Amino acid sequence: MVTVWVLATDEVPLVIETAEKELPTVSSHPPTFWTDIRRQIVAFVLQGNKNVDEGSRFLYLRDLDSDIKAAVSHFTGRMNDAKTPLTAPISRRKLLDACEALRVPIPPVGKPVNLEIAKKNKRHASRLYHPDVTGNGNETTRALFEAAVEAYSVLEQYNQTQEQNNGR
Amino acid sequence: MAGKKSLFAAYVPVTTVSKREKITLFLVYAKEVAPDAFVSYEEITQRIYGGAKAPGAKSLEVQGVKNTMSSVRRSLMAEPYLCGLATDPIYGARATTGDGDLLETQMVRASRGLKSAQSMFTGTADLIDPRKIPNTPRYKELKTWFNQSVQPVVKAISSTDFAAKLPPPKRDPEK
Repeated sequence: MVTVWVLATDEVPLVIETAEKELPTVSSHPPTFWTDIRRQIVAFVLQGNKNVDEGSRFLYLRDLDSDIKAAVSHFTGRMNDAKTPLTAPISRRKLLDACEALRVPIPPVGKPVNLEIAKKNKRHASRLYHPDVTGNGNETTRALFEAAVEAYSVLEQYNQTQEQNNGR
Repeated sequence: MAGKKSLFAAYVPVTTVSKREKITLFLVYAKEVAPDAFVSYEEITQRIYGGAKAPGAKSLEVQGVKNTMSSVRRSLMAEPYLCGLATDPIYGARATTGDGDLLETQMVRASRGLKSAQSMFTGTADLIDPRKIPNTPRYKELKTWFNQSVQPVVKAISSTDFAAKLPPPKRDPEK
């Protein structure tokens, strides 16, 4: 259940309990959504303070407007922070190492890696360094083979993270 | 690699020799440190010149190293190294580590080279009609060479036996 405070002119706030699925989305509101809400809050604040002089009223209402903006921004930010990332982000250094290991062009910041080249080069590395090809005793080639496989998984994970970030 | 410490970071470059010899010495060192591992041309360039950072793949230094590799191959095949050079279009180059490796890499490459040279040799010889070579002093020696030496060689290397034995066995891509 979500608590929604409804403010109307000449009324005390009403507390309405609504089911979460019934919550209106912001996109469904008319463009004057925030203007209407501010106007109603101002009317509610002013109804008991009609004798305040014009200058002070202007200043208080300006502060009230900025407080509303700050509060909305604050809670929107907290909601965004509360979103759990689906996959852990890949650091730029790790990405550069993976690109170098698989000889893949380094993508610009925020852009995905060309996984086709990465896949081709990983297969090529497997043909060169796979333990079945070089013999099980060769530690250097085994390490290079494992590095190529790990680098490919890093690049895959990086592209997944990029897709998620672009989808948000 | 950029972040991880390179296997060849401890290499001390030799500055008093030619570029070909610098690359040869480094590849022989790399063979000892990491046998069978290809070294990228960027890293070879960095190590032979002792730079703190590898130059870009398209830099003049790296292109110069790539252009020197054929003479490096000859240098590696000579005393005292007596090994071959294996190159890879993606991962770079390395010195071969043994006879099996030499057979798998350089011998296969050389047989392809010989096949290409054979088709060029026979193709050129087929284009030449000995009767149309002018009987002038300018061509006299060459015409004799063509008739007495080239044509028997063409006949020998055009035989089906030669063509069948030259190419290496095809590898199963799944293996």
